Amino acid sequence: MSSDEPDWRSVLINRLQERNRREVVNFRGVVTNNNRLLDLVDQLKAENLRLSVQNEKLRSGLGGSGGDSAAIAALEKKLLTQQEELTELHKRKGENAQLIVDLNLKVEKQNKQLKEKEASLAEQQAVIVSLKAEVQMLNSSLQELKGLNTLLRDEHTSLQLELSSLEEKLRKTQDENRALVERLIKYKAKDAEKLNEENETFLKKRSDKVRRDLEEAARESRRSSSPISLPPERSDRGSLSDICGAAAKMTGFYSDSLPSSVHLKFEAHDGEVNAVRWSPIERLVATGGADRKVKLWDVGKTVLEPRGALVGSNAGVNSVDFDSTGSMILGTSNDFASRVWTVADQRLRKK
Amino acid sequence: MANDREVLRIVWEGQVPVCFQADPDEVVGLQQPEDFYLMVSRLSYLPLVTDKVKKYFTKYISNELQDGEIWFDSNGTPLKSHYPIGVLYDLLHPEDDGLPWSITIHFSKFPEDILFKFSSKELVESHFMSCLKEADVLKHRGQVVSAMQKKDHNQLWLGLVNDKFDQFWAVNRRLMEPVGEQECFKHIPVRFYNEDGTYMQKLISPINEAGQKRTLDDLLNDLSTPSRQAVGVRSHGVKIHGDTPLQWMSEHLSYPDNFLHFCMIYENI
Repeated sequence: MSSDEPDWRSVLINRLQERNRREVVNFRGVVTNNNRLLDLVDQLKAENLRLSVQNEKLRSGLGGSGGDSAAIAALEKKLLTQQEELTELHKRKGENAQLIVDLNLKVEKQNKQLKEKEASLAEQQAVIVSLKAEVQMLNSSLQELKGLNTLLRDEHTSLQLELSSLEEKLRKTQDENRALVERLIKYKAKDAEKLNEENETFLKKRSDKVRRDLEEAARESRRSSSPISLPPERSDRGSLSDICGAAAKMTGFYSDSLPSSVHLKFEAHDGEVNAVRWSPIERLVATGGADRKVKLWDVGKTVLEPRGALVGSNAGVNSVDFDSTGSMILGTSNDFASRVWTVADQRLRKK
Repeated sequence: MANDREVLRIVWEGQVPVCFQADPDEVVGLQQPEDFYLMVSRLSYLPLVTDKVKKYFTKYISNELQDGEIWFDSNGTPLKSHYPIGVLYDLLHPEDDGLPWSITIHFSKFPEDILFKFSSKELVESHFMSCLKEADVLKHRGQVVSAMQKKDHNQLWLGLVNDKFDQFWAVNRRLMEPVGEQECFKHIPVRFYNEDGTYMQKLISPINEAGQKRTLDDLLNDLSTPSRQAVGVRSHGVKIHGDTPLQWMSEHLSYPDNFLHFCMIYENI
């Protein structure tokens, strides 16, 4: 049995190998080759198709371009127009670019302006704010002032009231005062009367005594021939001054003083000086001269100051005088006229 | 036992040269497509190897037919695409001739009374897996395949699809070993094909009542009837020697679906 085994097995293997040789080995190369060739054919077909398509395309392109000269002309024309259009477009593009630049500039300017405007606006707003604040401040101050005003007015009213009351009082007081003064004057007059009477009585007594003394003395020395002539001379004056003068004469107090030196000297007129007169109110001297003028001089100071010349006379002035208030001057002239001037404006007033 | 890699390798490398042709009625255009030659593995299935073929011929047929169910015939006989290619070839070529094998591809007029619509790979995969499980039930009462994980199933299938011998046998080896202490499988999964393309399946035990290993001759005797005698079997394109033990055959000559596919040769008495 065991010797048989290799037999059937080797037979089987041989047969299988024979089969493989017959079926596989003989054909494998051919089949692989065939497959490769088929692949190659496929590839070539695809290549062929591609090439023919390309060829067709080229041919159609060639035929189209070579075939029709009219078409070419049309196309050239078209090309020309297109080029023209292109140049036109280029031109327009340039213009547009210029326009854009301009517009940009404008925009920039506008922006600047806008900025300025904004700045000024801000400034104005700030100013407004400050003004508002000021207004508020002023308002408040106004309010304050109003308050103050009211206060003052109140005060004023009260003061006015006070004033009126005080005036009333003053008037009353003045009345009182006047009455008192009147009374005082009355009393004074009475006093004076009394005093006068007293004096008179005293003087009478005195004079009586003196007369007695004199009479006594005269009786003693009637032989002395030196009577005093003065007392009858002086008797026409007031009794008191008489006595005073007599007393002064007796005591040697009375002394006649003559002006010995010139205090002031000046050239007043071209010619004679006919008249001088003091102003009754101020240290003013008016002179009238043959030169037909009236002149005013201020002699209040150590130096003389001419105050003006009053003209109008047609002949030499003979006399001048002031009125009592010192505001007018009257001058008489050889031309048979008297004239009046005012001192203040040195004008001729009347003739 | 299943370690005779030389035999496994030779069996795995079995290929058939095929010449695919288009159906002249379906081709549009003036030019008839060139024939498409291909080396296909005997162990594979037609839908798994005909992607390129379909793509190649699609260019030559009209558009409305392109989405149609494709099917193949050889010399007028529609091909059942759920049979392994080697089985189809052996059935149609009892003698060693007619190489390369001419197959016509059709895109229309699907013969629904003869063929299943079996073109998608998912259908082929589920058919393959169901055959695998059936074989395992016969061999080990289904214990081995049930213990496998999904990824092992995937590895078997992808090994077959991508023609990866090592990847496939790394998993398939477990299916080809008897479980436990036993020397043999419980039964031998085997299909006997008649010349008309149908097959029958019988419960075959690898050992006789005396506990001895049975050979192919014993099997042939069993299959013989008074009217006709089974004189030999062909598988993988070769006649099998009569002394070959059934267990060894199952381990080494099985197709990837774990079945032995035998084309029977009968002699009428």
